[in-house]
Amino acid sequence: MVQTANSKYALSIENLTVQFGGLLALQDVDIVVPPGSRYGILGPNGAGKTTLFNVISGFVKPTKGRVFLHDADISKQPPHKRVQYGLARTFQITTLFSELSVLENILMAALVQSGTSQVFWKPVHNDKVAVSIAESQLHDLGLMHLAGKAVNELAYGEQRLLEIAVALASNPSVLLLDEPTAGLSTAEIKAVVKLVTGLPRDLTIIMIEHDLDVIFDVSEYLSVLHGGQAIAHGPADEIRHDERVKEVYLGES
Amino acid sequence: MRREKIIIGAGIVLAVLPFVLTEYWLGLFTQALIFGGFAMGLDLLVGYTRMPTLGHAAFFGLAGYGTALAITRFGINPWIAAGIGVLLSGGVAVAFAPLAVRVRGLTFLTITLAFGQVTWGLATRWTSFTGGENGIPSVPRPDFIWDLNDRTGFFYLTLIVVIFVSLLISIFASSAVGMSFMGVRGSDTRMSALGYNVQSRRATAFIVAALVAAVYGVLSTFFNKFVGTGSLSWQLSAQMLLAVVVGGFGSLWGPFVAGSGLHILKTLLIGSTQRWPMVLGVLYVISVVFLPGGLSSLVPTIKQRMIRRSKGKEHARYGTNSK
Amino acid sequence: MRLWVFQILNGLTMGSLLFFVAAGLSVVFGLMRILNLSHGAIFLFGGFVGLAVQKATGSFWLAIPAAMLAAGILGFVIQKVFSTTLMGSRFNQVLLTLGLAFIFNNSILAIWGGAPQTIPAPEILATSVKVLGVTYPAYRLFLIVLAFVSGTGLWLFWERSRLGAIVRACVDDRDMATAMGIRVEVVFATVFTLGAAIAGMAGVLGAPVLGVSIGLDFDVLLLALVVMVVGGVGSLSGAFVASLMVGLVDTFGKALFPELSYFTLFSPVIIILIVRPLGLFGRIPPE
Repeated sequence: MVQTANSKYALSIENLTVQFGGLLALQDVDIVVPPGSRYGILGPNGAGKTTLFNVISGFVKPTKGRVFLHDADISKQPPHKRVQYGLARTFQITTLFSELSVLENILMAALVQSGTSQVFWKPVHNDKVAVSIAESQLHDLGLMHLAGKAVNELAYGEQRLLEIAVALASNPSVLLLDEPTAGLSTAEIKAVVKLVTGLPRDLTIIMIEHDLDVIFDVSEYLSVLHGGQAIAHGPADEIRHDERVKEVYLGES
Repeated sequence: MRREKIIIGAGIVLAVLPFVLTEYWLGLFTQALIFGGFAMGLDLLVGYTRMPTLGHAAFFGLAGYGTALAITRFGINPWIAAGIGVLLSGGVAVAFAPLAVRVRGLTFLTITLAFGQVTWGLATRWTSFTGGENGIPSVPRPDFIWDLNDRTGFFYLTLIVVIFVSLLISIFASSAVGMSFMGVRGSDTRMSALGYNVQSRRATAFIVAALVAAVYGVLSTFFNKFVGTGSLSWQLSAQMLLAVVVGGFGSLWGPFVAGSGLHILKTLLIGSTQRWPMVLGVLYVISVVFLPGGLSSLVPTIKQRMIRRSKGKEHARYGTNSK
Repeated sequence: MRLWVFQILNGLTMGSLLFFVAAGLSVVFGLMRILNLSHGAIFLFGGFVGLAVQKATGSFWLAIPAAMLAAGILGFVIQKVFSTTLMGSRFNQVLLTLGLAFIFNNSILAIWGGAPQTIPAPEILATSVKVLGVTYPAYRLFLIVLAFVSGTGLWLFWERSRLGAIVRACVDDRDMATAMGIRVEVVFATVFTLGAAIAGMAGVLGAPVLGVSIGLDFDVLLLALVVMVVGGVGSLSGAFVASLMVGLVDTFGKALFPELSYFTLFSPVIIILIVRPLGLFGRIPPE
């Protein structure tokens, strides 16, 4: 993993433009995220939020612009290499491995961290290092009671928590959360917020979220996207009172 | 470790076959073991990783041709020739896999089919070297501590190879790499987000299944003392794909049983009628429409029982841990 | 030089026949993402029905509509099976059509036997014509002209007619088409049936050149599959261009390197697909 202490920004995005055919999904977006901060990305549907995450995690190639993680230019790296730079993400639609148990889902991430994902000569459950990484991850998040369950036996809310747990098992320094509370009940949203706010402060969290209460609860900084452009950046309190933002986003909801 | 014990147990039970079967049936069972093993290896690619191929007979046949040609054309010792055969298949798989895994689904199916036809076409048309439609007859079996020209002797060699390869496959399937194959099948975007090189995992599954096919291709050539274009045909690939489908994806034992059973069925039917394609087709339709989970879904599988057992254990263990 | 002209014409003949088979395969796939591996057997079925009709009546021209009707009915039944079962799993659908391919193949063998047969070219075309300095069978030239004419006709239908626009809309975005009130399942049934009928027609048209025999179903299927993925699934113009390419490459490969003929055909195909996984004209990822 790359050292985080002396970089000025955990993540910085320079001049990012993404064009799909004739459509400009993102246009000259600049965002800088201080280390250890809780950073929210706001914007109406189609503003380019998920495209932004896909570019950061390497699934979409930008038309132009660059992405830095702790001063390292990761723009050219394929998704699986970016994990080595300390990046992890969750997905909007739950893409957990439904045929595997909860522990095995986390194990999949833990194996990369223990460096034993290439092992083919012994059963994966005998991999003490990886299993202990996975178990302590579940333990820290208070999900240990689910370890042996199959994913398709979990409630939807539990799946969303597991989604975050799997990303955390990659031991990231920067975590991207893509709408972690979408489709959840009030009680389940509380559980997610509690989990996210309880995470260690040296972890940088960037979050896309539609629930405004959640995003103002969790984030210290916000960027607002509209029509593929970043129209405002700043501390959460300022953004809450920014007139333009109210107009394009808060006014609509 | 339970699956490994079952493999060894089944192997010991099968070891009595020479005492109860006639020569004809023993020969048939020897071949059935070979095709069962081939299907089991293919399960890693088709079942675990969900990459449907119509071309893996190519690796079975290439290894057979490699071995037979090395012995009959170049006078190489049969054991070394067997190594050459497996290396030939493996080498071709290593070269082809990174290209093939760049495409998915239907295109992958077509590319594997096309690849299989290239090897079949070479064997059929390049008559001066491969013997064309006549294949390569009179391939001698190697010398061993016991006589391999004896049916019983060859059966035991086959049994040992099948037990050994099945144990390797079983351990491989439960390893970190085996689990990553299931991950690739489930969601390849998530796998790359977790730091896995999805393409290289797919290629690995392709190559491993090819190597297994190669080992059995060599055995089959020695058994028949002959190799022909049928061993490279896409009909054989389709038969093996069916074995995995009928057996049940990812259960390993299901495809083995189905692969063996299909071969026995085919041999018995071919003796009397020309209806094998009909049977193959009807079995495809039946298994897809009425038995989408395959044979392994009929029986409460070992794996499920293991999950249930380990769940009991985990509950006990984690019960003391949490709170 | 003469030999070259001759081979080019042979390649175009083969390509023309392939186009009739591949067009249906490709458009059906584009529409419903169903890969119909029994398409080659439908082609051969058409050929044998045509042969029977030609033997009974002595008329080549009667054999064509008869084969189209028979193959069309078969296609209609197959798509009915699809729309009532298995709409869920694409993988299972492919396996089902593979099963059907074997069943049809063996049924044809049971009904008509394994001996290769042929339908003679219609009398009016059973002559040779001098073209570009070579003497060439008129029937084959007729096939080439027919492919170009019907290719153009299909293209006009595809691009200009209302029905064509509906089919294209369904290929591009099924959900959107449904939302616009298009009855996708009717479009699908029509296209599948038409595709089968055209494949059946190709079975008769191809008979004077390729004969009708067991095994031809799989050979033609394989070539049509290659045409489809090289041209790009769901693309009519892709199927046309790729058919001619595959026909030419196949013919030249067989003529120049008979021992390596499969190699010379499929190696370029594999390379094209690796460089352009969506095919030359494709926009749909063939998952």
